[in-house]
Amino acid sequence: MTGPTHLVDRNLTSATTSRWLEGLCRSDAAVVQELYDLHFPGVRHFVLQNSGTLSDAKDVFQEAMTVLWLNAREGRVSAGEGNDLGGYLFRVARNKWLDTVRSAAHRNGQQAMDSEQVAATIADTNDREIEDRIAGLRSIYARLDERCRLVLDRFYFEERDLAAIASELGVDEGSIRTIKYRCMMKLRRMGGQVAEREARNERP
Amino acid sequence: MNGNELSHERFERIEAYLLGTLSPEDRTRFEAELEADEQLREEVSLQREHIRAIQLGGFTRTLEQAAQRHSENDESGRVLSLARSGRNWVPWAAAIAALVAVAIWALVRPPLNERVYAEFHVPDPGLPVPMGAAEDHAFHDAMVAYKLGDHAEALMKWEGTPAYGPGQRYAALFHRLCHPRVRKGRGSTVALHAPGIFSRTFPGQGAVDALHGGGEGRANLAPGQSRSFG
Repeated sequence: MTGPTHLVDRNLTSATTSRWLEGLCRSDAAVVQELYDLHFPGVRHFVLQNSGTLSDAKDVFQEAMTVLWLNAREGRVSAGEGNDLGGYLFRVARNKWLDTVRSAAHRNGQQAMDSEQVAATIADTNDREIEDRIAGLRSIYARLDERCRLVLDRFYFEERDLAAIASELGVDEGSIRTIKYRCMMKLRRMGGQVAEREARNERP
Repeated sequence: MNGNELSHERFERIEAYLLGTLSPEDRTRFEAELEADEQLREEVSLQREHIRAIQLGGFTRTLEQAAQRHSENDESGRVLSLARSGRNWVPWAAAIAALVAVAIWALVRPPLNERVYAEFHVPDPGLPVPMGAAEDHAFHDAMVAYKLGDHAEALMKWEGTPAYGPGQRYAALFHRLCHPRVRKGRGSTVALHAPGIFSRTFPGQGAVDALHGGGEGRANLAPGQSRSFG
């Protein structure tokens, strides 16, 4: 009896993980809400138990969800056996919070974590690389003005076609196509300027 | 390459490749170009990053909305939980109130003997009782009136009976019974209205005659006369 039941449970878990990952790739609001409602309480409990606030818990959970979203979109997370998205979210959020606490303790000259916690933090260097990349992506998005965001969000995030966007904004499709192109070129130029500035700063 | 302008056509071709909207033939051709052209690879990589940044902006908004909804549900859940926990005392309070009510009822309830008395007691209808003049129906009728508390009527009826005649031993007794003031020997205000009730003289009746005038008859009594009714 134990064998088949165990198999069914594992299949159910795998099916749920698949559904969640597909939903995340589409940025499906219902799936995001489901993941939030299911897994945020655990992270909140951990952060509150470790001298954090509710706001801290929200920040680290949001960061963990973003890491999961990016990894799912770029195919680094799969719905294979043993992939527990809840556990993954908790681990990323926990490490992020412990990192924050350690940084604060370091600034204040205190020993805030035991060696096990420090080891757990250091072990997840991949997560930190992704966090750096997320910070870079956010800085790119921050360069966009409102008009560009309006058009680019609808086309690249909501995946609506040009005719629908043109109809919504009351302009012709050709105008939307041109606005989209110009906005993307603006990003490209600004990105180039940032890269040049960084290169100049790195020179001795 | 960033320093150079990217043509609209080339931009849209890279975009179509990244969004997966190229036909299979165009895709194969594009991938062949990609292998051979490093600048194109850089351009694709840059544009992919820009598109990802826009998608991340949208995902961040979705996530913030989820956080907002979670907080609202959490709050309403807490309020509901508080309301539920608040309602938990209601059945207990109702049970305690019921117990107190039962205890009070049991304490103030009359004892069994009083309840049995109240249930089965029938007031005496005032039927005639045999006395010395058991055969005298008028006398019995007067007795019923007396028992019913109608003393004036009792006196009037007794007046006509042989037992009330002069020299009869019951006359003064009946008079005393039916006239509470006289019976108690106080001689105060008399409320009897039947005329002629006190017109006759009986042994020791002086005080009664004095009262016959109504009002404060006590003032008309001779000293010592009131004692005869004491």
